[in-house]
Amino acid sequence: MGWAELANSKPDGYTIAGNNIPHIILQPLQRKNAGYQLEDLEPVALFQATPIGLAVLKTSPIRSLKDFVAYAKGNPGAITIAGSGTYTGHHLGHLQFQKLAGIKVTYIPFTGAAPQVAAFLGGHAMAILANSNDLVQHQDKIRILAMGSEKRFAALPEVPTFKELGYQMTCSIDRGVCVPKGTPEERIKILESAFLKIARNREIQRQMVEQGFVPVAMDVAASKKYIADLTVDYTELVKELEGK
Amino acid sequence: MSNTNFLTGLLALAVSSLAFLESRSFTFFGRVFLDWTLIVLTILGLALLIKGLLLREQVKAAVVKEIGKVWLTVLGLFIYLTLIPIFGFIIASVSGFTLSGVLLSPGPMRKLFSTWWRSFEVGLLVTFIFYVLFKLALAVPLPGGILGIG
Amino acid sequence: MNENFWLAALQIFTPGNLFFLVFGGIAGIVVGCLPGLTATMALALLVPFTFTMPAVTGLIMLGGLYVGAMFGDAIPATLINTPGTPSAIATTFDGYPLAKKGMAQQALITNAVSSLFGGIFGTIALLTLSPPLAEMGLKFGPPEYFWMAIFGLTIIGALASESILKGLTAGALGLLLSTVGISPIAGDVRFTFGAPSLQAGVDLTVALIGLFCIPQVLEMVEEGAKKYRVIQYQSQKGLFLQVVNYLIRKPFLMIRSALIGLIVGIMPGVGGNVAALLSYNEAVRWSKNKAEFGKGTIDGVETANCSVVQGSIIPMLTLGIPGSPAAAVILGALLLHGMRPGPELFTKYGGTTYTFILSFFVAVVVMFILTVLGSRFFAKMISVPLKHLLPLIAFLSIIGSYAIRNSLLDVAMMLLLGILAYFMQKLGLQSGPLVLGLIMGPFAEQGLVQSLLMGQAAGSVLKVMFGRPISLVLIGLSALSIAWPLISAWRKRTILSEAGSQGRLFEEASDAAVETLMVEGEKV
Repeated sequence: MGWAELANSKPDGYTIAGNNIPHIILQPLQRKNAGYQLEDLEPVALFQATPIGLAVLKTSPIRSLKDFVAYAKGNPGAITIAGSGTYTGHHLGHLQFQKLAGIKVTYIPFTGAAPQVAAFLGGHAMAILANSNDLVQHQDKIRILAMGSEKRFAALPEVPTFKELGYQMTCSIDRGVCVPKGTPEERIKILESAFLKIARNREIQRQMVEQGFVPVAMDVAASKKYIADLTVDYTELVKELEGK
Repeated sequence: MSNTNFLTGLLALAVSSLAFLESRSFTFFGRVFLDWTLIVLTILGLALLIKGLLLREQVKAAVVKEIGKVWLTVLGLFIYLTLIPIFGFIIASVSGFTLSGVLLSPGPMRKLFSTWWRSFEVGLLVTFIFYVLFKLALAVPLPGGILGIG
Repeated sequence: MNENFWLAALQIFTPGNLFFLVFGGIAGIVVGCLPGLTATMALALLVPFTFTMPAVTGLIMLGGLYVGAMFGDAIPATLINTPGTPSAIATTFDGYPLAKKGMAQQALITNAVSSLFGGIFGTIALLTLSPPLAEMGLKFGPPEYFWMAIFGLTIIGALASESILKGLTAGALGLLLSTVGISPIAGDVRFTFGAPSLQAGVDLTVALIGLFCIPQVLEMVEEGAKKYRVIQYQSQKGLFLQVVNYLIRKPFLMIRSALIGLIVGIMPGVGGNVAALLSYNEAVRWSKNKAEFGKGTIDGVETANCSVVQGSIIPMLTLGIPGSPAAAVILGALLLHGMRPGPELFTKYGGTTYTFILSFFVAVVVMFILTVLGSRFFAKMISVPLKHLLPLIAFLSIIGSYAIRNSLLDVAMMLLLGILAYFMQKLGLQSGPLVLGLIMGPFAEQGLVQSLLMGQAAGSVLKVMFGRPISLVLIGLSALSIAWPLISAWRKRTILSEAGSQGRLFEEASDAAVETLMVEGEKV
């Protein structure tokens, strides 16, 4: 809803909104009446990446991604994965992995990270696709099977990535700032340099890493390309999956 | 048949059917809870309908006394609502209080200047207090209207 | 209790911390007092300001605000039948009738005392029981949440003063209303009739103001000045002790409500509004004079809204999972200061954390003193002449509902709902059950759909929905909730018919006598 409002607001450079990828890409893809189109939003900067990882409780018999896939193959649909929302990074991650591994698991959407983590920790779901910061926070109680980042995640160096284990997918939520289309260029430049300054600040970066996020500093051009690339991927993915 | 049970039952059934029609286009998961709720609502509606028919003499319909005043108030509130984006919060509120203070006074008092003045004072005071509270203390933007005062 | 504990306790009393505690508290009371402004909203507004303060001070201020709001929201609930925040819904059921009878001050004092008790109870729990309590909250999975919502809805049996059928119907309508917007799991857009702003659904606070406030306003217009000034407020000494005396004789009432508040607070996502309603339900059920509830009895004013504060903080501090939306905002403040929930909070940041927890004791006491002293002043407010009071209430409703999302559309929605509620009340459909349906709807729906998914995965939906211990307890309680009023009504009828028609006359006569006595008592 917020993005619909942003798209409809005055492009005066004073109205900005938080940017959340893949949400802004996926919402208009999934719903015809989301209230905005992706092109209505101009990215200014991206400053945080939250890779998504697959985990089970330490008490679970599943010890690695291989075990997970094997169990799923033997019991289709039996594994429950807690995720946050439908048509979000988590949901897509689940769909991608299902396809790449040739398995069927049951995705249970929750209304946010907090309920999702609570349900998982309480044993109501067997696995979870969670944001890196949640994974880091609860690392002593869980076993992380794989992370959706390109390279190994700094805060959890022993955890392999999906790519390493043979599954060509990345899965993460990226955060930044955007403005409505038509905002004058000079204003965008001002916002861009302001946010990049913050994003490149060492202290802020350190705090982000501590909390389990990956600091990122993408300017307008880089953000645009990143979003464009992802949009291509996701559009295809959604088409495939809806066609099923 | 202007029996509250009967009317309520009718209302429940009407709402239920409308919602049911709208919901045909939803997906399974978007619909399952709704369907169960509608089933419950329909059963309740029928029960009320039957109860209304059976106990006809005992429950009379609710009587709305002075319905004119009620509609007037409602109209007034909506007028206030539409005036805010036009004249801005401050002007609309002060006028609103003044007018309502006068209209709510007993007939003979309405012509007195003191009634008008009192209501105006109250309007100023309340509007001022809330302006300060919301705009300055809590930083909630209040609509300025075309004239931009607010 | 080692020396660190006392050091932490002393920290509360530094001038800076004390100032912000009181400041937060008063702000909380003010916010609580204004319908439309919720504690969560005010907390969110203040969090950025804590950035420049030391973590301790910021947390103490936010804690004070949360507590203050829980004390303040009973004021409009009692005086104008509008809950100041959603947690005060249950306070309107008996608080407002009490005010109409001229006993507003008693109601306010009761609220203050019970909130004090609840706050202290909750803080002790927070202090000593955090880890095990938080673990318990985790055991509530989707089926439990569903049955909890159902249990909440069976409260309708207690609320529907006229007829259970109508009460349940209102509740069902509330459930229906809650489906407006985006479906939580499947993402369909439901019932928005093309208006994008409806996609977020009907905002609860907007609905609260509309459903409780507007019908009141319209009724006042209808009935005119006479009905609402009959019982003059008269200042009485010794009221405070009177009320305290009365409440001390009912320890179970207080303890039970505080316990419910604590437990509901712990459950992630569920906050004050549910706790208050549940504890009201229980108060009715265990009381010996049920008929008085809803017509103005002090027992009914006792609600659990204060221990919810501490309850919701427990899982927030230990697991990073906020027990209520307001706790979520406080969590944001914690993270802002670089503190992460978990064992770290109690070891590395132990000083700050314990000071924060202990500050609740102080906050609660301070709020208590303020509201008791202020109760006389607040209760007088009801004597304001109708012609000014009425526009004031209408004004508050409009501004309040505007302030939530800066949307005049919300105000229009609020008015519409209010008008509908007014006519529905004429038909006998009360707003209370409707609001309950609105609140419980999302919990019930999410619980249902998630449980269905779990059932699909496990191969048997029935086992998931009906086979878990906590669920069974909740199912049992729900069944009891519905059965109880029916059984007692049947029993009453049997007893009355045995006593003959004289019985009914006697009941009516004694009711009238009691009313007269109370009015007479006022004049003394």
